Amino acid sequence: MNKNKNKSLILTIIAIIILFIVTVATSYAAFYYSKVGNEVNKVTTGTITMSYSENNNGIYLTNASPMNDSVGMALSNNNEYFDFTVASTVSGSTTIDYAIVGVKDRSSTLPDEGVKVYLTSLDGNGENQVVRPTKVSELKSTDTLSYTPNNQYLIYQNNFRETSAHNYRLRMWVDSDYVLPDESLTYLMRINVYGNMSS
Amino acid sequence: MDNKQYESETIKKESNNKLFIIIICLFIFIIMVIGISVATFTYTKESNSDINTISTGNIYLNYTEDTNGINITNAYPMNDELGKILTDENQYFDFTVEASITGDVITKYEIYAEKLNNSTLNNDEVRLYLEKMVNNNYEEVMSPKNFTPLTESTELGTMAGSMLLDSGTLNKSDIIRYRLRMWVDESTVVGDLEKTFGVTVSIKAKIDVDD
Repeated sequence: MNKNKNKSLILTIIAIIILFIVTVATSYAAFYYSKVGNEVNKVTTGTITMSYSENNNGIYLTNASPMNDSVGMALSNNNEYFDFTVASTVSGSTTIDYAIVGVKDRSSTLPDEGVKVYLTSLDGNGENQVVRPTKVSELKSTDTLSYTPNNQYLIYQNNFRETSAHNYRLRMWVDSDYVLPDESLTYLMRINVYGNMSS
Repeated sequence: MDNKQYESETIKKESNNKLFIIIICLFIFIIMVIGISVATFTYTKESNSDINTISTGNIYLNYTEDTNGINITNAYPMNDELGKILTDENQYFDFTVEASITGDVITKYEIYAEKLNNSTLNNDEVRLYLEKMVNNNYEEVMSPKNFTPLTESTELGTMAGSMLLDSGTLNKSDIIRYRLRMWVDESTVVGDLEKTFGVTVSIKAKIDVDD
């Protein structure tokens, strides 16, 4: 009798436990939802190339005497001017600023006050003044530009808005105001071009 | 004799009681099993009718892509101020998360971006920016950020390598309209080679049904 009672009690407890487990298990359910997007979001950069080419050997003046601007501006022998080209290939629409910069060679003995530079642009119709005859000492410093080295002479700034090439001619002479000493003096300037995409 | 008969009747009674309890337990168990089966069946049926939707009769969750994706070509680096206001049709991507829930449920969700394998721009050369519509105006949800992949998967299942754009809990009746923008980071150096960066946007959600 007691045995039977115990058996029935155990069975009842087991049934209740099963019922409890099932109840707990079903009272909590979680669904997961996942959707992978189809649309591709894509950014493709444009391309930029910039080049600088020097078309002749540069200015090489010997036994140069001071001259006034009108003479200096008309210097036309091969070694009296320096032609160079700044070119850019741009895809899409953007603006590339560039700076034409002069770097004085350390071996120069003529002071900046004694030398004038004159820059023209060249196109099919001839030359157009870009920078009037200016003493090197009066040129701005590159310190104000973020994309050039400091302590160089800023000759000219321009920009590209599309694929194109800009041709320039630089002349340099001893200024008529400068009194030459007895000794022979030299002045060497290298031309660099730095470019930067406008923000 | 009477005593014996009485004992026999008592045993029979107890046995009947025991059987009765077991039958009730089994009956309840069967009802629950059927209940779960029905719920599962409903879910399967609804999700077949619309691949973006699950429904259990009282839970509706949907993710839709409302515009064509961002497609910017000849992109050049730009600062965040400009990137945040790109307005051409191909410069932003709108998508919507919609929920309609009745009952006692908690719906957590995550919006994430997955980088395309053929991307050639580095993660730090691109900026992503997410807004959502509040009172007919878009408000910032995620400030401009470089693509920042998760280092480990989340509880909801967003995989490591994806970038989490937004996460939260959906209310019983929510329609959240998102707008994603993407542009080339201003510090990126553009050269003579074209570079790309692509992402797809996806959602993961978990609905906890607490009866």
